[in-house]
Amino acid sequence: MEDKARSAAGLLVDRYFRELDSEENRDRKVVYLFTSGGVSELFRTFDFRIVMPEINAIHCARRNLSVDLIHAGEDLGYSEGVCSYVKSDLGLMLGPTKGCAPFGKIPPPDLIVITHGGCSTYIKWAEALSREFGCPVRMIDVPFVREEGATEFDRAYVLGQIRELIPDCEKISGTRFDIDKLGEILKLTAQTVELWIKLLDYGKKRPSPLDGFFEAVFYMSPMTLWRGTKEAVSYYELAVEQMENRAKTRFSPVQVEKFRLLFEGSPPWPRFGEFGEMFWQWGAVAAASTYVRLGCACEGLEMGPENPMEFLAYLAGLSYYNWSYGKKVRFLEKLAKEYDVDAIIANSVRSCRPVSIGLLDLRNHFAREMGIPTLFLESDIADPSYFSSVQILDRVNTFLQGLTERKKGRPRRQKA
Amino acid sequence: MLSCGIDVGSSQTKCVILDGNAIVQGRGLVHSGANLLRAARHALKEALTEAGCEEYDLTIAIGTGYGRFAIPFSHRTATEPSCHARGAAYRYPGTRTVLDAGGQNMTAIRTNAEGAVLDFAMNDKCSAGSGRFLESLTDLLGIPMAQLKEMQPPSEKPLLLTNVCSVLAEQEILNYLEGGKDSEEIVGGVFMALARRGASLLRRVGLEDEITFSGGLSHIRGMAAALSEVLGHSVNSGPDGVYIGALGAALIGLDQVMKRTE
Amino acid sequence: MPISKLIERLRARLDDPTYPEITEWKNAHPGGKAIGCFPIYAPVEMVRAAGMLPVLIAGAAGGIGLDEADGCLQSFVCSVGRSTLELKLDGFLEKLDGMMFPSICEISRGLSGVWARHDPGKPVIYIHFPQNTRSESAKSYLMSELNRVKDILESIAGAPITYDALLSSFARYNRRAELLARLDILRAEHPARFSGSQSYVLRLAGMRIPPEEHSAILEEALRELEDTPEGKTPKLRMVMLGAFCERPPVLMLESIEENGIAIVADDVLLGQAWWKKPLELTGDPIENLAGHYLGEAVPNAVVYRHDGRPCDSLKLMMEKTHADGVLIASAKFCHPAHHDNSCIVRECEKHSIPYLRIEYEEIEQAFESIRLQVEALLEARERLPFAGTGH
Repeated sequence: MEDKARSAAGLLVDRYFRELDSEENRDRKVVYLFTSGGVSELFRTFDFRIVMPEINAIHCARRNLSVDLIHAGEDLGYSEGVCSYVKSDLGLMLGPTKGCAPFGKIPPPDLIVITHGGCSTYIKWAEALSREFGCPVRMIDVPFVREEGATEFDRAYVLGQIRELIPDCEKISGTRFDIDKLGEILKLTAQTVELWIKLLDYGKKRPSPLDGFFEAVFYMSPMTLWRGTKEAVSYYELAVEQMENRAKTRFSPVQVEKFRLLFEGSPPWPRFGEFGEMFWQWGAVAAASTYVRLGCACEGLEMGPENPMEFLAYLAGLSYYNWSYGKKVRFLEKLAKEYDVDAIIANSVRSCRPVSIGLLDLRNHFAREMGIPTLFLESDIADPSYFSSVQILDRVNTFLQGLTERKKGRPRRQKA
Repeated sequence: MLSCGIDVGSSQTKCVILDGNAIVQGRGLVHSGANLLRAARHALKEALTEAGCEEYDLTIAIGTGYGRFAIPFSHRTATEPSCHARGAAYRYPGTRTVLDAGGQNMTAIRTNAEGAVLDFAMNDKCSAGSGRFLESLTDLLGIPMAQLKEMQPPSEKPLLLTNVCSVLAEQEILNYLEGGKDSEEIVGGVFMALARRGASLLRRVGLEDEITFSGGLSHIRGMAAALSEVLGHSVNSGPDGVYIGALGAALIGLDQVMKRTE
Repeated sequence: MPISKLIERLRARLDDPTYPEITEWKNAHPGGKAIGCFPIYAPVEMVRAAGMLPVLIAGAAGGIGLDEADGCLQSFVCSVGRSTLELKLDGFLEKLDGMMFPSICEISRGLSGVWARHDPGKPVIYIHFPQNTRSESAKSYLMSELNRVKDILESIAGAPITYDALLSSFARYNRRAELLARLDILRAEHPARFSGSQSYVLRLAGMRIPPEEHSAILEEALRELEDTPEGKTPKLRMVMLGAFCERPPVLMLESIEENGIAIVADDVLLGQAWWKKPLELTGDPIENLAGHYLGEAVPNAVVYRHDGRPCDSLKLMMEKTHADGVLIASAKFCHPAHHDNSCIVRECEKHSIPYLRIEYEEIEQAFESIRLQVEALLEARERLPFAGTGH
C-alpha cells in the first residue's frame, strides 16, 4: 500500500527548504528557534522565516552528510564529546559549505531565540551562531516540568518572557504584533495537535496500521516545520485518512505483526533505515514512541487557544525533552499499557543527554520491576561511527528471539 | 662533535647519532621490552657501531619518549612533541603539521620551518589509536608484524570499524571473521579506523601543508596510505619515520651545544 | 608553622566515603539534619539558616568503584555524576535527610530523577534556576522557586526558617567568601609561597562542614601563611579554567605545579565563590538571594550571560593575577566546559595567550600525560616565547 502520507510529508519538507531561500521570501526576516519549548506560532505572526538548527542537522544526517560536517565542526574547535547535531550544524553554517546543503540553502539569522526547554546545549549552540552572524539573541527559558506538572509560577515566567519578546520581534521584522492573527494561527495549531494525537492513537489498534517510530518520525515533519498553518492541518487530515484506510484493511507496516514495541530515545538518523529493518524483519512494529511526542503534544491539549498568549506559554511547556525523569517513567508506563506493548526498546544516543540520561536505569525499572522486557541500545543521532551494526543487530536478534521464546511460554534469561 | 637522540618508546627504542653538520652517522632500533634502560643501551650500541665511535665520543645525549627518565646517560630530556616537530621539519623541510603515531598514543603537532611546536593535541586515553592495538590484532589475525608492514593500502571499500574501544573493536573484528571476511580486508578497515583517529587529532591543531607522518606506525605502508586517504591529502612518510623522534632529540642536542658555544 | 602542615592535616581527612563529618555534626547537634547539595551552586545559605548542615556531594574522588552506578548511567556521563550516584547506591549517604540538585546541566537534572527513584522516602529538591537572567519575570519566578525550596527545607527541619536566620546565614557565607578572596589575592601575589594545589585543599576542606567552621580553617591558613617562606619562583603563571564542577585530583594540580607552573587563579569548587559581591544583610532575604543570583553570580559556563561570555572572566582573571597563560582543564564528558573551551581557545589564539588544554577525570591517579604536556609547553616557550599552546 503506497505511503502517501510519507510522500506528502516529504513534499512539505522540500517546500519548506525551498521557500527558506526563495526570491519572493528574501525580504522576510529570519529567526532561528529550537524545537523544545519552541513557539514558532509567535514568529509566524511576524512573518519570520523560521529555521531550526536541529532540523538542519537531522536532514544532513538522514542524507549521510553528517560525517564531513561533523569534521568541519571539529575543525572549528568543538571536541569529540560535543553533540553531533551541534557539530554538523555549525559545520554546515560556519564551515566551508556556508549554509549550502543539498536540500537547500539555509539563510543566516536576523534573530536567534534560545527556546531553552530541557537542553542547555541549545544555549551554547545559539551563542556560537550569534558570534558568527552578529545577530541578537533572546531566550524563552521554560522551567523543567516536574512530576506534578507545570505550576502557575512556571507558566507566568514563560508568559512574561514571551511578552518581552514582542518589541524585539516588531523591531526586527518591521511588523506590528497582531494578537488576532496569533489567535488564528494557534487555532490551526490546536487542530493540528488534535489530528496528530488521533494519528498516533492508531497505534493502539491490533494490528497497528502505523509504525509509531519508523514511520511516525516522517509524519512528524509537518508538525515541526508547518505547525500553525493550513498546510499542516490538511496534511494531518490526509495522514489520518490514510491510517483509517489502513486500519479498515488491517494493513500492518510489518505485514504480519508479531511484536508490539514501545520506543524510547532518538533515531540513529544516518542508519535509520537499517535500524528499522532489524525490527521489521521480525514482524516487530513500534506501536508507540516518545520521540514523536518530543516537541509538543505528549498527551493532547488541556487548554484551548481562546487566550492566545496563555496558550502559547502552555505549548512551550509541553516538550517531553523537558519532563522530569519521574514524569517520563509514569508516561512510559501509561503508554506501555494503553498500547499493549510486548517490550520497550530504549535507544540511548550519546549526543543527546536530555533524552538519554536515565535510560539504563529506566531499563532496569521496566525489565526488573515492571516485568516488561526492555532492550537497551546505544548509538548516536548524527554520528555514524557510534552505530555499530554488528553489535546492535546481535542484541536486537537475541532480544527478539528471547521474546519469541517467552511468547511460546518457555522462559529465557534476558540479555542486557 | 656528535649529538645523540634516544627515543625510548613503549614498544620500540630508537637512537640517532648526528655529527656537527646534522648528518646522520648511526641509527639503532630495538624492541623496548620491560627493561627500558637495557633497551636504551642496546639501541645506543647499535647506533655507535654504525657510526664507528664510542659512547665517550658523544658530546651530548638527549632522551625522549615514554621512558626518557629511565636513561641515566642522557644529559637532558625533551618531550615527544618537541622532538617530533624538530625532527619532521628537518627531515621534510616543508612540514607544518606532524602526526606522531606510536605504541601508546597519537600526537598531532603544528610546527613551523624551525620545527618549533606551535600547537599539539594528544590522544592517550585509549589504546585503540595506537600501535599497541595493531600488535594485538596481529595475534588475533595470525599475521606477523613484518607482513603487516608490507600489506597493501586499504581496498576501495574498506570495512567499517565503528568501535572507539579496542576491546569492542576486537569483537567487531571477530564478527567479521565469522562472517567470512578475510584478514586483508579487516586490516584495511583497521588502518582506516586508526587513520580517522589521527585525522581527528590533526584537525584539532589545524591542518597545514605539508603533513608528515612519524612514529612507529608511519612505516606501515597501509597506514600511511589510509591517513592520506582520510585526509584527502598527501602525507610525507617513509621507513625512517620511526626515527623522527630520535632525530629531533639529536637535533635539539645540537641546538643546546650551539647555544652553549654562543 | 608553615602552611604545608595545615594542608597535610586537612588532606588526610578528605573524601572519606563514609562521611564521618555528618555523623560528627549529628552527634554534636542532636536532632540535627544534613542536606546534600550537588554542584555547582545550590542555596546552601537556606540550608544553614534552617539549622541544618549543607554537604557538597561532588563525587567520590575515585575512592569507590562504579559498579552500581554503571548499571544506571551510561559511560558518557561524567564521573562526578556516576560516582555521586554510586555513593547513594552503596549506602554511604543514608545519613542525608534530603538532596538538592541545581539546574546546571542535563546530568544534574537526570541524576535528580534517578536518585529520587532509588530514594523515594527522602526529599529530592531540583531547583530550576532561571537562565533568562535579564527577563523581568525571572526574579519573581526565582523567588517562587526559592520559597518552594524553603517550604521543603522547613518540613525537613521541622521548624520555620525565619528571615533573621537567613540573614545571619548570609553573613556567615559572606565571611567565608571574604576569606577565600583574601587567600586568592595572596596566591596570585605570592605563588611561590602559596600554591594552587594548597588553595584547592583549603577549599575542599569546606565541602562537608558548616561555613563558620570552614572560615576558622581559612583564618588559620592566613595566619600560617605569614610564617611560610617563599619557595622557587615559577616559570609560568597560569589561570586554570573549566574545573568548576567535577573535582580534579589534587595530585593533578601538584603534577602541574611540580614542573614550574604556578596556578595563580582557578574556578574549582566554584560554588564556594559564586558571588561577585557579598549578599545583602537587610531587607527580604529571599528577594535578596533571587536578585543576587540573577545579577551577581560570577561569569560561568552554566548560567547564560546575556551581556558577555565566560571567556570575559578569563581576561579579568589574567589582568588581576598577572597570569602568563591559561590551563583549560575540563572534566571528561563535561558538556558546558567543552563548549566554552572552544570559546576560550579562540580568545587565547586571538590575543596570542599561551594555553594548554587538558582533560581529566576524578578517578585518575597517574598524570604522566599532563606532565608531558606541561613540559612540552614550557619547552615550546623556550623556543618561541609567544607560542606554546597545546591540547
